[in-house]
Amino acid sequence: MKKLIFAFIVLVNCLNLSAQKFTISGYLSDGETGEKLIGASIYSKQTLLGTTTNVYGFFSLTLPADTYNIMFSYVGYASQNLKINLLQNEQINLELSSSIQLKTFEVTATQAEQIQERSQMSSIEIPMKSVTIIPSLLGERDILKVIQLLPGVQSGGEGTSGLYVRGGGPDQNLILLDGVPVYNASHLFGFFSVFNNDAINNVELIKGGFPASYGGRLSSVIDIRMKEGNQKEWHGTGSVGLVSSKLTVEGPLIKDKTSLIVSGRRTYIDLLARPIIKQQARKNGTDAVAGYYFYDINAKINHKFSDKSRLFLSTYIGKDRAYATFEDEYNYDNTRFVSKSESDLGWGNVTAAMRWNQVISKKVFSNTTFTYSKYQFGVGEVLDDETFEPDTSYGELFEYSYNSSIEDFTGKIDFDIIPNPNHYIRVGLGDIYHTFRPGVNAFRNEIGNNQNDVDTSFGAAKIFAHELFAYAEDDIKIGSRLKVNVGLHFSGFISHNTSYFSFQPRISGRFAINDNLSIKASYAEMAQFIHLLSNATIGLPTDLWVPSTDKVKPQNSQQVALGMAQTVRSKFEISVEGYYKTMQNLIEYKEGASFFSVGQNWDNQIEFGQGNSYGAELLVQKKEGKTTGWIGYTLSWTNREFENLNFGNPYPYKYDRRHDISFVLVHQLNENIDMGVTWVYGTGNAVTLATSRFPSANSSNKENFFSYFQDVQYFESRNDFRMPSYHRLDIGINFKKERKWGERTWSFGAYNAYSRQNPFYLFFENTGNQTVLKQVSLFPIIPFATYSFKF
Amino acid sequence: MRTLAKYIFFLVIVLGLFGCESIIDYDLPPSDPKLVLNCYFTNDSIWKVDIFKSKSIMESGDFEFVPGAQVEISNQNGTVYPLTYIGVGEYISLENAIPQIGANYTVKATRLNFEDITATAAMPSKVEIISIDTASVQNNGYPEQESKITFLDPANEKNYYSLKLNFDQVTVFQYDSLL
Repeated sequence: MKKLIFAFIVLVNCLNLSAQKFTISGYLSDGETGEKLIGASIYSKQTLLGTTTNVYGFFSLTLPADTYNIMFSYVGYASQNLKINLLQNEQINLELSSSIQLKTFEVTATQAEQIQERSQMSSIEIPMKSVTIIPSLLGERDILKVIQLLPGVQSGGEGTSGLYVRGGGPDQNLILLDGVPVYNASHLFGFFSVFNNDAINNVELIKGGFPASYGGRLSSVIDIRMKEGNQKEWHGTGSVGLVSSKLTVEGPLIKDKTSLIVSGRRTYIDLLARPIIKQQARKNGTDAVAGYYFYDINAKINHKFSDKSRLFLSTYIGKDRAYATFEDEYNYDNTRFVSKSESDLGWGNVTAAMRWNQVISKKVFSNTTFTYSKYQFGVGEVLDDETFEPDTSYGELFEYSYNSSIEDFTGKIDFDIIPNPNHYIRVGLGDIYHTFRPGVNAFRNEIGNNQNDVDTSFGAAKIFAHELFAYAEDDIKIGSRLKVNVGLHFSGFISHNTSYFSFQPRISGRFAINDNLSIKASYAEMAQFIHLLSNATIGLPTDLWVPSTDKVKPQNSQQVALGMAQTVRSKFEISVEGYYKTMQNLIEYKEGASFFSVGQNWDNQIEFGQGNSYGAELLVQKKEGKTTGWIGYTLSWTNREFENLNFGNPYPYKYDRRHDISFVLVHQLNENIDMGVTWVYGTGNAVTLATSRFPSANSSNKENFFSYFQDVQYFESRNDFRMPSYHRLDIGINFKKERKWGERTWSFGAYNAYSRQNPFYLFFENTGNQTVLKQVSLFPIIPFATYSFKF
Repeated sequence: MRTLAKYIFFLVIVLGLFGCESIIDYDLPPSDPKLVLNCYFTNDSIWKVDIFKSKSIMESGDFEFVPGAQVEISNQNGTVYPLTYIGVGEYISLENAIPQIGANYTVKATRLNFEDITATAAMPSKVEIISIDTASVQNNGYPEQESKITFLDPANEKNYYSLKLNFDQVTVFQYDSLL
C-alpha cells in the first residue's frame, strides 16, 4: 500500500512538472434554478482536449498558455462558447440555459461527453426529463421502474420495483441517495420505490466496469443525486394522484448562497377507507380501525461559503405502516367481556448526510462526508381480554413483537485531482460502522396471577462491524485514441470474531476507431460483506440484512465486459456489450427454513453457493429532439449452483431471462402536450413445479384417518419450468397549461394497455377428476389520472 | 406471527381485487411412475410396508397399490426377512420378524417395469422417563391439572420429541421439539 501511495505521489508530481500551463476551473449550473449540472462537457475544439463536471458540478481543465474557444455544453441545454485568453488560472462559474426555455433560439444538438468518448462502460445516465413522461403504474412516477427498462436490468415480479442486474440479486445493488446507501428501497411490498422523483436531480446506473470509487456490492451502483434547491427564487411542484399526493418546495434562504428543498409524499387510501371500515365493523358489533399508508420526506440544505467551499445537509425519512385495531364487547349473565386486539406492521429507512465540498486548489477538489442510514422492520401484536364480573375482574394480556434492523454510520473523504486533461484522478478512504440486529422476538404474557407471567425477549444478538475502504483510480488519456480508467479498491470487514480483506482491481478502457465509434473493455472485481436473507418472491420487508461472520464468507464477483459504442448522425447513441460474470459465496435459505425460524442461529440456516451470468445487451438511445427514447435488448443466461440445493446440480436463477426487450418512446407533440409509450417483453420467470405426487408415510398409517389422504409432491429440479412470457404496453399523455400562478399538468394513461394476463404465480388445482395448472395475473389494464402543478 | 400472516393475507386480498386466474399449459417432462414405499417400524409390531405407484402431478384420483413386488428387509448382519403381499398395498413378514432397537435395516423392493428402490433406517433407543409429577392448581379460580415429565435426553445426538398425553376422557396433546 505504501509503495502504491508513493508511486501515486510521484505520478501526480511528474504530471505537474510541465511548465506554463494554466487551469480553468469552476462550476456549471442551470441558469434558471442554480441546480448543478452533473456530467456536463467542457471542451476545446482546437486541441481536442476537454473534461466533464463531477457529481457536484465542478470541473478543472489545465491547458498550455494560449487563446482557446471553450465550449460548455450539456444535454437539453444551449451550449455556450467562451473565448479565453489563458495567461493565468481562470475561475469560471457558468450558468447554462435549458433549451426548453429558449423557444426563440435555434437550439442545435448539444452534446455532453458522447458515449464513445467515455472510458467508462456498462453505465447509463437516466434522462430525468423523460421520467416524468414515461407512463407508470397508477401514475406513480418511479425512478427504479425506469431503470428496469434498461438492458441488463430485470424487474422481479409484476409491478414491483426490485432490480436484478446482470444475474445478481436485489441485495447486490448499491442504491445511493446522495451518497448514502438505502437498504430497502420499496414501499407497499415493493410496488413503489422510496424515491420521489420530484426531488431528484440526476441518476446513474452502473452495471459493470465499476470505477474504483464504488464498492461494497456485487452487481450494480445506482447513484441518485438529490436536487440542491433553487438558488434564485422560491418554487414548488406537486401532484395529486390515485395513490399518493406530493409536494416539493424549493428556494433560496439566502439568494445564490443558501438553498433549501423539501419534498414530501403520502398515500391516503387509509384515511379515505377509515370511515368505511369503521361503519362496516359497527354492523358486526365491533369497533375497528385498520389501514395502510406510506410516506416519505426528502430535505436538503445547500450552503455556499465561498466559490471554493460548500456544505450540504440532506435527509430522507420514509415509512410504511399497516395497522389494525379491533375492540369487541359483549355482556352475558351480568358479566362483561372486553376483547381488544392491536396489530402493527411497519418498516422504513432514515438516512442523513452531511457533505462538505472544498476546492483545495484549481486542480484538487475534495468532498468530506458523514452519513447515517438505518433500515428497520417491526411487527407486533397485542391481545387483551378482560372479564368483568359483578364483584371481580380479571384478564389476560398477550404481547408479541419482532424487530430487525441495520444501522450505519459512515465517514469518508474523497479527492478529485485533475493535473492535466490527460488524467483525472480520484482517491478516497472511509469507514462504515454497521450495527446489525438480525431479529429480536419479544413476548409478554400476563394471565392475572403473577406466577405464570412471561416477559422475555430472544433472538440474534447485535453484531457490530467496521467496513473500511480506500480506493484510487485514474482516468488516463493515452494519445487521441486510447483512454483507460485504472483503479484499485481495497475493502476490509472487521467484526468481533472475524475479519476479511479484499483488493479489487478495476480497469476499463476505450479505443476510438474514429470520432463516432469506439471499442470498450472492462474488468472489475467486487466484494460484498453484507447479505440479504430472503425467501420471498416479492420485496417483503421481512428480508433480513446480515453481516459476514466466521461461517458466512463475503460475496465476491468478477466481471469482464467487451463492447462497442457509437454515435450515429449525432442523434442516436448505440452501445452493444457482452459480459461474463461469476459470483461466489451467494446465500440461500436451507430447504424449509424461513425468517420465522431465524433466531440466534441464522447462520446455520443458510446454504452457500456460486452463480454465473453471461449475455449481450444492446441499447439504442435518442436523447435530443422532439422524439426521444430508447430500445433495449438483453440476451442472457444466469445460473446458480449450491452443494446442498437441487442435489448439487446447477439450476437457472429465478430471474434467468433469455430475452428481455424494452421500448421507450417520449414524444413532444407541441409546447403543451407530450406523451410516452413503453413496451416490455421478457421470457417468463423460472419456477419450480412438482412433476409427480406420491402418498405420504402417514397415509400408510391408516389408523390416523385425517392424514390418510395426504400427498407429497415430488420436484424433479429447481426452477425447471418457465412461466408464460411477460409483455405489457403502457401509455400516457400529459396536458400542460400555463396559469396565472404557474403551470398545471393533467396526466392520463394506462398501465398494461392491452390488458395482457401476465403470470404472477402458478398453482395446481384439482377440479374433480382433473388437475390443471393455473396462473394468477395481477394487473389487468389499470388506468390512471394525475394532476400536477408547478409554481 | 399471525400478524404478518394477516397482512400478507390482506395484501393477497387487495391484489385479488385486481388479480384473475386462467388455465395454462403444463408440458410435463415425460416420466414413468415410480415405486413408493412407506414403512413405520417399532419393536412391538411385525414388519409391514406399503407400496404404491406415484402419479403424475396432473393426474387426480387415489393412488394405486402395487402387488407382485419382491420386498425384503435385511439387517447389518446380512439376515434377510422376505415380506409377502397381503392386499391393499401391504407387505408383511409372515415369519413374524420384529425390528430390534439400534439395528440398521435396509429395505429393498423390486418389481418388473419399475426402478428398484432401497432405503436404510434404524430405530432410536427408547426414551427413558425419569419421573412424572402431577398436581392440581387453581387458575383464576378454575382448577387445572399440571403435569411435569422428566426424561433423559442423550447428550450427543439431536432428537425430535413428540409428546402425546392421553387422559381418560380428554383430548390428546402433542408437541414437537428439537433437543
